[in-house]
Amino acid sequence: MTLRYSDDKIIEGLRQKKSSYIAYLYEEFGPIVRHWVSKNSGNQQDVEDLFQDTLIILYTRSLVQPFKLECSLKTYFMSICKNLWLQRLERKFRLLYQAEYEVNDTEESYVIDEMEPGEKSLDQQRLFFKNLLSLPTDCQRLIRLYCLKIPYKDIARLMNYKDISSVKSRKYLCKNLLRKKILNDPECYQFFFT
Amino acid sequence: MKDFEITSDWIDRYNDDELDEFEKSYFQQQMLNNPMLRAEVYIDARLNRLLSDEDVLELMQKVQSVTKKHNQNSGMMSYLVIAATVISLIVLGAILFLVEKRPVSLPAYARQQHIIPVKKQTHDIFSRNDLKSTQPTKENTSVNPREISGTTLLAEKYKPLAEFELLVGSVTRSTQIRLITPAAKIQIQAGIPVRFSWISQNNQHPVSIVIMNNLGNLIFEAPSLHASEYLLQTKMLSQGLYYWKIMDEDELVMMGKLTLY
Repeated sequence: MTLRYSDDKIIEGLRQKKSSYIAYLYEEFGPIVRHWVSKNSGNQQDVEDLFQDTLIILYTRSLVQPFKLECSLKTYFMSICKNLWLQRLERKFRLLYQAEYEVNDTEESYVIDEMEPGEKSLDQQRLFFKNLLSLPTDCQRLIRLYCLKIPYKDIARLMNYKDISSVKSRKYLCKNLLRKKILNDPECYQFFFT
Repeated sequence: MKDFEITSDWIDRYNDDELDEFEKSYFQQQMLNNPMLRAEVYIDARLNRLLSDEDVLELMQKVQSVTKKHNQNSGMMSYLVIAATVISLIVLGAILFLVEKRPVSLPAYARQQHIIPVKKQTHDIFSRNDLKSTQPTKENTSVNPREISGTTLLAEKYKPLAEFELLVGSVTRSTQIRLITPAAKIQIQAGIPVRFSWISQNNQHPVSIVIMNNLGNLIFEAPSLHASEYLLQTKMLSQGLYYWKIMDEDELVMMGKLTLY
């Protein structure tokens, strides 16, 4: 027998990042997303990506208090989902009809907006995350610890490095490897070279 | 202006704001002229931002593991469904085969074979026509339409009549007559006579034998037999299925069937 959760309970579960609630959402909304995406020129990979992006937005919004749903969760979820997908289609359409690649970014690109992650930003996140997971385990751990602003001496202790300079040099190597992997990823071009 | 060698750690140091003023301005100058370096700096900055959001990373990891697990399960399910479908089809096919398969007597089968004779390849193995004869030709592959209609006709003649089938071998209501031969179901070659014999408590009691074809039409009747046996000549009957009845006046003694091949 399948358990049914109320919308509030699901939001609460998502806030706590509980796998059971994520699985429940995928069971419940996955087929609707799949149906909608396949009707709008998408494939199974797009469904999974879109589901993940929608959940991240839902999660981010749920953390902003007070979060109150004005409609059913399903409607809300699907509206985020459709919006994201239409933005993605529009961006891909633009890319498709661009005559040739050219580098046109400027220093303004470095300004990181503090607003909610947009469609492009979510797509980038997935690209980064995919490449991060392809790194050796120790590199993944080291980069994550570093990005969490854990002091070098603590990282050295946690990961059995002999001193801070070893941590630093390993971190440079790992981050360089990750950047190269991202730059060599075919998907990267749509973000940085168009 | 002093030239620096920009190594990969400069990108990290730039984003961590660890470069001194001079290095920073030099680095920015390099970035203006080098789009690849700009892209790397941008990626590094975005990476730092993403990786510092441990919650989102954790959520992404969980979502991916959930979708992966779900896909594995659904993949397994589809394999199971395919396997179940194949097994069901095999079982269904076997049941249909067993239900549809009717025992065909060897002579009847042989007769059917005779109707569409398999043309023997009579060519000499040393003849020049060897190669030719191995090719399917119009002559040896065409089927005479008369043969087909003949097959259909013969098959029709062996088709059992449902109403009579129920009565075949049925027990007599007559107490006066007891049939000895033939058995309720017999198969014989056309032309061989069939011996009907019975015991009658009262010889004065007349018995009649009725032969019908498989459509229920009367073919032959031997009325008012006072003897205790009768030899049915089958020369006059063509191949097919027949039903016979032994009648004691108006009462049915027994019904049987006779297959002539």
